[in-house]
Amino acid sequence: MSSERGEISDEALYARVAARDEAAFDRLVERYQGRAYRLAWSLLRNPEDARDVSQEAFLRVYQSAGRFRGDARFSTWFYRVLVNLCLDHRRRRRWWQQPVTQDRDEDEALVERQPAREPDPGDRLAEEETMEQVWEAVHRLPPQQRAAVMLSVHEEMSTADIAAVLDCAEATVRVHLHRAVQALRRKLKP
Amino acid sequence: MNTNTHPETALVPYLRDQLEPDERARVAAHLETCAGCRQTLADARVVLAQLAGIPAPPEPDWGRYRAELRARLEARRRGAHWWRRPVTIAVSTGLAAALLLFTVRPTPVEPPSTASLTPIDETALGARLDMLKHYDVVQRLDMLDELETVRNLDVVPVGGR
Repeated sequence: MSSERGEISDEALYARVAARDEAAFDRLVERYQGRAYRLAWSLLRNPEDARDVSQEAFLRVYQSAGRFRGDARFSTWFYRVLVNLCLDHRRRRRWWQQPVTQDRDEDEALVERQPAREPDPGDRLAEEETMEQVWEAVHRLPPQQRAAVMLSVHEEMSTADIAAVLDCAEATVRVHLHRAVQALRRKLKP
Repeated sequence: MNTNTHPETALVPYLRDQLEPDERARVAAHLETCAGCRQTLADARVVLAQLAGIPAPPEPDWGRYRAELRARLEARRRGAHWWRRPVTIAVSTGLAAALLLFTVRPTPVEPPSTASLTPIDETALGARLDMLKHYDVVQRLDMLDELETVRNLDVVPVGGR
């Protein structure tokens, strides 16, 4: 089983992982580490949490490789594990880590306001403020809506794939996306 | 117009070009006649552009990331193997119990009899100190061992040549 570019497919690699092929696991990690970290970061918005949760997702898929059905796509399987971990992480954090989270967000905002390389610092600052507003608005979305939006925009997934990841109907994903966009528009309208 | 007929939830997939041709045609036809949905579509376009403009997070050191992942995997394997071995559990539990008993077991503690021991200790120590006081003499005693050899030096048999 191989892709159009002649590379071995994710599913074939994952089948080897099920047989405890360590090299195959390393290749899968290299393929997905960037996407996994970025998605976890966009859902959790904290570098340490993103690293921790994305690594945990790799561990989970390694351990459950034997249960993978060949008719599903590895990416769907992996994203489902990752998104569930992120949503669980947020739920747990909501109870006892919220003040810490707010501090971290402020720290991140400071980091993101590093001196600009562009010639006009004013424009750069305005752009960063807008991004900060977008992030805050996204952060306030319900978890399922937020996940749907991030999978759609950043991972460029179809509504059908998002439905498979979130384990819901495609119509539900459409509702999530519509409501998320409406809420964001209300919050970001000048 | 009945709002139920507005294809609002299809607008994001429409923008992202993810609709099947027939549904896409229906939505396009509706948009030509509905100013409200056109506005909703325009709003969605703005929001999606803003979301797409969010910069990617700074990437971690991937080598370190994979090393951490590998370490976690190894730790989990060890942990899993440990829990899955009944013999290991039994031996570990037994050792832990024995250690606990040994540590916690009350041992009879006799009151220190410093009054009777102290003089003996002092005597022995004093004797040793006395020997050390005359260490140069003690050291010379070793020469007695060689005294016989020195005496015999004068009586080496000449005829033995």
